[in-house]
Amino acid sequence: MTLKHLFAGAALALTLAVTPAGAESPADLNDLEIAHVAYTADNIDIRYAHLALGISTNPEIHKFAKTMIRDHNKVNELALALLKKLNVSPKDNFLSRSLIKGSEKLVDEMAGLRGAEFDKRYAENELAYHQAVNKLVEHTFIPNIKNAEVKALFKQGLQIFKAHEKHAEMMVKALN
Amino acid sequence: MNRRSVLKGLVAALAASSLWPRSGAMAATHHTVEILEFTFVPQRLKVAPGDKITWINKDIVPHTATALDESWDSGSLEQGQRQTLTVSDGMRGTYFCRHHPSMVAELV
Repeated sequence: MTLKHLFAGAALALTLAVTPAGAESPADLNDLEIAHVAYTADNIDIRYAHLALGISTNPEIHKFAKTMIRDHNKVNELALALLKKLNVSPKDNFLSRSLIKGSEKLVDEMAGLRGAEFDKRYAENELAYHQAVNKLVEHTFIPNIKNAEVKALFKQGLQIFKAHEKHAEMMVKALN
Repeated sequence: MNRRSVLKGLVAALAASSLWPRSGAMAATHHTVEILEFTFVPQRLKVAPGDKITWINKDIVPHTATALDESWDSGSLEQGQRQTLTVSDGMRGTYFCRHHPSMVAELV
């Protein structure tokens, strides 16, 4: 499978996830639902990173995975602190559930890979995942968020995740 | 007093004053580099051996300032933390953040 096919697959999966049949679409989500999606997406990437630390022996993969754990945990910590301050709770929704379902399938697949095959799959998925999520955050979530503090946190988060996207891109190039 | 003596006296007076550039005794400069929005500011910094550089992390996640060959390193800086290093001869060149390698800057 080429990187182009892989990315097309990841993008399609996210497109399907974000445009379900029925009235729900990402553009309809409120601030609390968007916060839930972001928290879920962070935790999914943390889960992938722990898998990478357990399977890969490549030092560059380990460095990247540790950065994912450190940064995504930090963003989640700040998001939870903000929601607590606002005295609200994140709200589960179709998109969070869809992301979790997709990630479980991918974790099962990656858990069966070893060596260079795992490293390549992990790196390519990290690139595709960050590209797709960043697009959603930048073009759909940030413009739709109503609360100014939540919007500001998402803007900070986007800067971080764009740096992750560039890092993933470097990792993919180095492995090819 | 002959012309040579006058000249010697003038040189001695200049050397004693702050107007004379004294090699090895130039005042070291203290530079500050802010790490803000995943960028080292300034991106390019002119330094001399003996100068000090303080990196301050203003982002919410940790960063480092690290030589490409990792011969020097600020250590991981949390939000609000700072680290000062003294410039040595081999420090000039490109440096990056170990956690986010797309972040680069240069000491010249």
